[in-house]
Amino acid sequence: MTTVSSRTDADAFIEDLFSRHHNEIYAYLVRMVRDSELAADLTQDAFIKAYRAHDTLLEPTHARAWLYQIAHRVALDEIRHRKIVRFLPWTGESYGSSPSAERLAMAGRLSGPMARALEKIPERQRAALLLAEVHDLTGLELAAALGVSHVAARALLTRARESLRQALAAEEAFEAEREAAAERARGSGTPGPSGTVR
Amino acid sequence: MMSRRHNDPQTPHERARTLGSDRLDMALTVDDVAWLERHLATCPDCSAVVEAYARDRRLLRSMPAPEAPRDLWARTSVALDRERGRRASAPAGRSRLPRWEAAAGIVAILVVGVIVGRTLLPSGETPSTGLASPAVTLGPAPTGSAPVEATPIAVPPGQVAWVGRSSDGTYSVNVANVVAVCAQDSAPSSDCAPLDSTAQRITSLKERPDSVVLAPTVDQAAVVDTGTPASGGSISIVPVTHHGVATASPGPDASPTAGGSTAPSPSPTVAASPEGSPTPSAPSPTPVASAGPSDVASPSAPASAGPSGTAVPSASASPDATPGVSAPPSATPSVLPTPSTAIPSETPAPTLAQALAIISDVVIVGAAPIYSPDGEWLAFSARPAHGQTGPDVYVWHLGDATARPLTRDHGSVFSGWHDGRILASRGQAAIVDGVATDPMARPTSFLLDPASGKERPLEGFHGWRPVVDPSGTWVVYWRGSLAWNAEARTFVPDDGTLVVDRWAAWDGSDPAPPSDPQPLLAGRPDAVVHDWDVRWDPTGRFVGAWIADPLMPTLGRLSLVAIDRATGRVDPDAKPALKNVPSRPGFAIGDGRIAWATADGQDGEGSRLTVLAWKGPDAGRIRTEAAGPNEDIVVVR
Repeated sequence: MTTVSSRTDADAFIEDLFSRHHNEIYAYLVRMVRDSELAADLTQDAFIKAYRAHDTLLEPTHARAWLYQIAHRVALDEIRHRKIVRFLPWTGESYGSSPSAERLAMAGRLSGPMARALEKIPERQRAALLLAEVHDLTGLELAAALGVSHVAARALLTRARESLRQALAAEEAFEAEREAAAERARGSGTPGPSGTVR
Repeated sequence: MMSRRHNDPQTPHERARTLGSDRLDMALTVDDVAWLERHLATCPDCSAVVEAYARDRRLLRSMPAPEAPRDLWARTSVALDRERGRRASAPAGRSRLPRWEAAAGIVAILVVGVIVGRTLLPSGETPSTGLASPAVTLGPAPTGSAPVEATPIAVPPGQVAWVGRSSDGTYSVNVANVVAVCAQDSAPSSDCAPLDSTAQRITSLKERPDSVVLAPTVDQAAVVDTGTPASGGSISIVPVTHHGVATASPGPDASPTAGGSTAPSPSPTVAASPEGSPTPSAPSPTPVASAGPSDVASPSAPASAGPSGTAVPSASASPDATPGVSAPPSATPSVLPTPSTAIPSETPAPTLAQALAIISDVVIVGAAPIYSPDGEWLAFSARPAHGQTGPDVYVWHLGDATARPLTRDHGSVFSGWHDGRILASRGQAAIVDGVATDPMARPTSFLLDPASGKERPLEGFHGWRPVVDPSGTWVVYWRGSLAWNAEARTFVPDDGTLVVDRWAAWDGSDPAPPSDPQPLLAGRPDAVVHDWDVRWDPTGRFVGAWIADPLMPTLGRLSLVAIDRATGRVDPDAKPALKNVPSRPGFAIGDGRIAWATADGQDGEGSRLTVLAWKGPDAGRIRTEAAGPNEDIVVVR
């Protein structure tokens, strides 16, 4: 293990870190703030902070978890300070790129109720779920990223799973109710909740 | 959503859902798996919930990954350039060194005495300024011809001890004396003779220990193998060669020349090589008990069944110990050979130390084992490596064959010594059959009489692992909530932080109300405190605080924190300063010095022991040579 100590090393360190992890850090931040452009800015912020703090990384093999820790703080700061309330769908659309039709279809099919359910659970729980389930952080890495003990991280993850289950059930119930209403509307020829009439 | 009050015990349904969540991330114990399967078979609601957890995980993982913008690097690169420009335009000459270090623009050459661990000379002792005195000059410059490029920084004499790999494959416990150190910004190769060049081996060990604690008044050390559930650890007592520190009765002789150590004036040939190789022609005048390689700190007494049918730590003499060691001596300190004379000028032969296993097949938990100030007792906490019970506080008395438990609740951890008694902590929740009745608990601490085991509670004190300063005025402890850890079968710190508080009020010796606890490591944003090691220096002015890295607990960061004796607040401007220095577990702190070891590979070097020593505003460092690849130095406490 080595500690990066010189400025030249810092430059090489951050470039290597960026090339390896910028996609996943960006993806995590998009999922946290639900705004692709804002997530791009936050990704940039996270790497600048990593550059400034590169000499605090004890073990280079932990760089990924360390970077998630920084990104997590950047996300929480953003969420708490700007009080983000708007919701943007996770389409994968981002600055400078055009998502494919297949990707949009996939996003619409899989992330609609899930995205709304995730939006409804507390951000720390959302972060725990995303980091553990989507970004595959280990227990220790999750604890470090969240800034809590291993035990607390596991407890948070358990609460998050329960919150998501209930939120998803509510979303699915809402969807079912809406579809039923739409079906009734189609049967009666009156506009449904979505305002569509076949 | 599951919700319950802090102290509500988990219902079976809550436990099932917790285990159903946990099993997605880790392997459950056999007992937990069996319990969960039984519960799910009879509880369709819980079964559906647990299935939903797994389904939701699949859904989450099937979400498409957003793609980063193609110009993200270009944007980030511009921002990095701005950051570099900002740094470049900052005032030049800003040293990364603390001001006190930069101010100490003096260079030293002499290495003579360091102390740490047992090692501390009385604080009132006046160091000699005769740094160039041949009587105290050790190392490779026998004629005193070492280049004196600048004035060395004189520090109170003392010793430092560490464990390093010897050329013969054993591990040697080395001691070196230091009365002077080098300015921080001086090149070690030219200005400082490495500590190794003055070291003397005081014992040898076959296997690398996790930690070694020198007894304060007798020539012995406790060798600790912390152990894991898969491989039980042990504590063994080994004799050490008397290394001539006048700790018991310091007097006029305890000057750097005579006694930074009581040793005769060492000649350059005295010093052991960095690898601890003996001088071939050197006799072995010290009656260090020796034994074959199998005798070295490798106790393996099996666990025995306790009254409850669960395994309890086996506190018995090592079967490998020789009769003279394994039989309980009737008088102290005869349990181990204790040379009565000062360390000879010749390097002792590298004999392997005889080990008296006072406990084995355990996992050492809580604070590291610590001798009582009078050296009569060694206290620690441990749990059976293979049993189903949590930790208890143990004590070993000089002359006894084995350690004995002082607590029986299987939930107590050792914290330290205070006023001749043992400080220990436990969670405020009952533990039944090795399982807490409440997964969350408040910490509480208490005092234990080492002889009788009588407990004295600290009413109203809700701190974990308190460490009291030598004057009994201030205490550092962890303040927060505890969570039950089923794997460790004990409560562990959950959310909280290390604080400084007024001890006298809690101790009952001061009617004044407790002060407001102050954070010990204020200003450290990433202070995730899972495991730590906190110790005061003998003056009560400084606290050494090592915080384990949350990702790699075998590494951490060491800080030296100055405490305002009047207010208990951290003094951020005090000198010297040491902040978040990467280090391995186990540091040693004395009056005017602190020593730690870096890990192999840190800064691109092998593991080193570094001593920071100070006298007034002057401070400096001295180090050992870097150890070989994959070898980590162990600081002796």
